[in-house]
Amino acid sequence: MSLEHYRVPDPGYKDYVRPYPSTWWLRSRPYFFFMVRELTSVFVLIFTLHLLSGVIALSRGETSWNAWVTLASASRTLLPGGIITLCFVLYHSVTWFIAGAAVTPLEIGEFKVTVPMFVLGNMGLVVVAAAIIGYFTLGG
Amino acid sequence: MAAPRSEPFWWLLFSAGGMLSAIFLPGHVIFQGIAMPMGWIPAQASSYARMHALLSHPIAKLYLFALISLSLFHAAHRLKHTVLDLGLQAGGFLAFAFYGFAILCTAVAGYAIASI
Repeated sequence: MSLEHYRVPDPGYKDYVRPYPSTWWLRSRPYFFFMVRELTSVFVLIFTLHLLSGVIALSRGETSWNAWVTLASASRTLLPGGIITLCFVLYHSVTWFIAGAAVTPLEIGEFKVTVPMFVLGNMGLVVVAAAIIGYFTLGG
Repeated sequence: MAAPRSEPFWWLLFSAGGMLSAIFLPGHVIFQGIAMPMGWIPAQASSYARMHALLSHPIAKLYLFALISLSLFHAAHRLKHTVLDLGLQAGGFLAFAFYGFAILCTAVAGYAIASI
């Protein structure tokens, strides 16, 4: 028997959603940091689109690639954006690994991997990844 | 509110993109988002010939495609839920807009990366 037999029938009315103000996340510190975590996705989105624009420029030939490099380098207007983006992206990494530690509690024999150990271990991976990216960016 | 039946599929892409962006994006932001605007990357390192050769490698292509596409699905899913949490009860439209954008960008990225 398939799962289809257990489907809940459509009740024929919409679920009631209790009205709440859109500023609910300003009420408490944990709510606020939850919203900061969710908003890291804005920076992930913007920066990924920046990388995508570079890939598109490279695929269109030398002229458009050089134009992209000129736009992306030595541009002091992009720099504050880069620094803010780094803060949010690092916040995404740390919170992602905290969630990861909760989802996959690790035990090696008697030894329990705590949340700080899990996060630090993965941040080590972030550093290694950054070193590899730097190696290839600078001409490895 | 009941989650749509497609939720596990989008959550899988969200999760994969969250992992990839958590590990690889900080390095890219440091080098392409800060070092480049600072002018710390030597011109010959970003020359067309070198970057074209580097990104012609199948592993580099696969890496960039996965990183760009999955990071966008991650951001799309999280942004959709953020907008819902802020009180805009328009799940269907938001899903169409955000996932649609990620699918469109995936197609563009795939085409661009394949033609490098």
